[in-house]
Amino acid sequence: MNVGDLRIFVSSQEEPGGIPGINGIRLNGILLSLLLVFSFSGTGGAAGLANAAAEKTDETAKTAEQAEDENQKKTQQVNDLKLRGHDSLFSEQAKSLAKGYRETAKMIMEQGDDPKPVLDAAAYFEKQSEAF
Amino acid sequence: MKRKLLAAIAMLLTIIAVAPAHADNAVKLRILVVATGEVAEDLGLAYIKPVLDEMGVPYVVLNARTQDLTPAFLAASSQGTACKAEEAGCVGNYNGVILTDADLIPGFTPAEWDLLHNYEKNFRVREAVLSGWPATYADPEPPHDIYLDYGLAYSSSGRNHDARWTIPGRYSKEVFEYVNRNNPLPITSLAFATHPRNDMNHLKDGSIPYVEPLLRTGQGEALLSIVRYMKPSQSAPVREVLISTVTNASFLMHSKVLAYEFVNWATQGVFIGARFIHLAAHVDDLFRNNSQWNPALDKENGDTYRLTGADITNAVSKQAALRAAHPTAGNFKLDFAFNGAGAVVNPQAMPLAANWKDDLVAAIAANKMHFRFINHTFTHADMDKSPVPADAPCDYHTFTNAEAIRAEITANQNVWALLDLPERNENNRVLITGAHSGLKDQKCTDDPALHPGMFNLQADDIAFDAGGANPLLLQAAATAGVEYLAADTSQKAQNVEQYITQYEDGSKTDRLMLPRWPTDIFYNVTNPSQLEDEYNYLYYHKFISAGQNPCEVPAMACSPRSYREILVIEADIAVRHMLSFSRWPHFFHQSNLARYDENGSTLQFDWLDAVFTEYERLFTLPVKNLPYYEIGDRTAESLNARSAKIDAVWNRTTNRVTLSANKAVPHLRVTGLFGGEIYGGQLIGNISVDTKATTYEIDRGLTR
Repeated sequence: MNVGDLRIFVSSQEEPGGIPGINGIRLNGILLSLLLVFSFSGTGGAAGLANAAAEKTDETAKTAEQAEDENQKKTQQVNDLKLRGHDSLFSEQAKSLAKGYRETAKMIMEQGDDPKPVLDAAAYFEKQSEAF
Repeated sequence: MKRKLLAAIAMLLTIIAVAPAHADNAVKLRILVVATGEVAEDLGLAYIKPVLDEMGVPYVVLNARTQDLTPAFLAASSQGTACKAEEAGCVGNYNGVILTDADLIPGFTPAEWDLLHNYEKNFRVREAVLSGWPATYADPEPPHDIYLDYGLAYSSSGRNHDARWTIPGRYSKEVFEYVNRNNPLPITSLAFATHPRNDMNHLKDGSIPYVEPLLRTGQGEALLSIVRYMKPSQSAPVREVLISTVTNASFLMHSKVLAYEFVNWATQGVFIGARFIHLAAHVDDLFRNNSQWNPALDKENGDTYRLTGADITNAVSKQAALRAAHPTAGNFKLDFAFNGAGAVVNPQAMPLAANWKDDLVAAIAANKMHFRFINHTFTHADMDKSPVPADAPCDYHTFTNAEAIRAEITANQNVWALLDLPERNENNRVLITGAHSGLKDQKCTDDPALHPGMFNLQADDIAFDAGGANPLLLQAAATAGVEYLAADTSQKAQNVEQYITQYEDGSKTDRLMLPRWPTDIFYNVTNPSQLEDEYNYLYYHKFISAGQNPCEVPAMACSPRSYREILVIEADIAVRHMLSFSRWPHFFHQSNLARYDENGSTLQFDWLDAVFTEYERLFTLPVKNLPYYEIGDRTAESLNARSAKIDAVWNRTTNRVTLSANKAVPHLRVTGLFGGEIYGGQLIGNISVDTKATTYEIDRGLTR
């Protein structure tokens, strides 16, 4: 697998012209929340509407926060992969790990338990060892 | 045969272990790492070894595939023979155990497990498990007693978790004090999620594993847990284990977050060595012009940028704002590596005179207490070897004698005095050559415009460890009193803290190489659009233009990236550097400090803000921001400590540790010493040790 196989950001989440930094999405969410709360705060008897709006904005902020976390994780994965690609020992280590999990699976079977999760892990690391 | 013999020994020790007694109740401050192979085979060993090395923690590795665990390996009398905990003079060889894999199959036999567990019980030593299957195994022989059980039941497998911290209150001052528990920890590798069984099933010694998860999946499954082995008649656990069922490796961010606690837990927070988080930003080329990238041409076009006085006052404000925005930043200061030729009226005139009419010089002098400074040579001259023959074409001017190079160093020291910059004496010991020149031989190819046929100008370089360094530079540095010489981690053999012993410099002492991290905030950019363009040219368009697919070239980009994306990637990389506990600074250039918008934004502070934001998402530990000469001093101290054989015995009855060494170690960091520096809720002593044994009081800092 190549580092570049993973795209980092969803383009709609970018902020053209915004202040550079990684808090932009969260900031926008908070500003939007404040704007909506203030918009409804002066209308008598509109508590229900305000609550609904606040809930919606909370949801917007939460969604934005989730998107930010997701982007952060994707960046982390890109760098994980990049660094793993630089690690000349990883292929051999993954192969050993896969072999170890196959041995563990044998042991689990001898104990009368289900070895499937460990066999899956062995297959995963075998694939990883071949990818690098 | 091995299995039967070990089983007999283990049975004997099990019987003895029924009522543990501790005659001396003493253990050495050293970790036993039980591995499944060598570093080349064991991902876990390759992960934890550099952590222990960087922290300076003594350890011994037992390769379970090729070596047997024996009683003599675990505890010894003063005569060096195997002994039992209840015998007078018997000292445990380790105060912590780390297993790189949870079940150590197939190398570790049931008898070896019994030996290890009995050692942990009898010497009250904890165990940390880095990764693996949460096994429950019974003896193959009747009566089929359970010899290994982490008290966990497998629930699911996954490679993508937003793990949540769920540290019980009673452990809040003992484990993971340093993490930001308010934020999820993304787990990006294969993990076995589990559920604590907390049933009444017991192991062969009668203990029952009681599990408390510290880190859980979104569904509440355990990924990292403390297992306390309890006996009905006892209030204290007979054994304690920290187990991760997440795959850990040195290239994974979550592993970097977890690493310290495996060591800290296993040793109960008492160990030789220490960890600090560091960040320093060096701004090179102060007083120079840096050439500029032209996005329209995808190359430099002769334009240059030199900071102004307004840029400096803006930097003072941005630095204050950075400290205010980030509680872990403390009193963070930029370090300017300066070239004094750009700060004097006439670089050729003697004596030199400061150019006070230059608003940059005046602004630096007026704000000097807000920053630190480093000698970057007078003119930023190239220090590489001269070509052979001497009249061969070369892209740069070279020096043919050490005296001329020395003059580059001392003239800049004179400018330091002229500008009355702070900490001059301390910094006379430090040098950053222009572009780290002199540490490899570029073979006279440096300018891409002069070598259109060369895709990679570094392809013909002779590396530091292949004889590429210039002995004249090292001689000049030695005679000028330089002790620490900066290197570039991206260059071969320069990413190691090392004394430069392989080149003759005419001195009795050796220069110490101090690596610095480069970043992708290039020297020739002042604003986001320039950076974005050059970044995408180098990582993407350059390959497309050459008919190559950048996706197939390691570390290149499959599509262009925005400035914001670049910053996030850069911050992530920098935080990984910080979490390696290395002191190495990151280096930038003066162009990066140019104010590029009406808010006073600069590439330099955008990077710093992004780094601290990402760091504080994960950690709460204060970040150390040391001057470069102090980084040198600390590095020298660490290298000296690592080369010594330290003998340390922790007597748990008196709660004191007795230390000695085979040579003088004037600065040994020990975590858990009474009176030490408080960092992350723990006390870190800085003590002097030599051949004479000295005793210190232990303080695990659990009440702080």
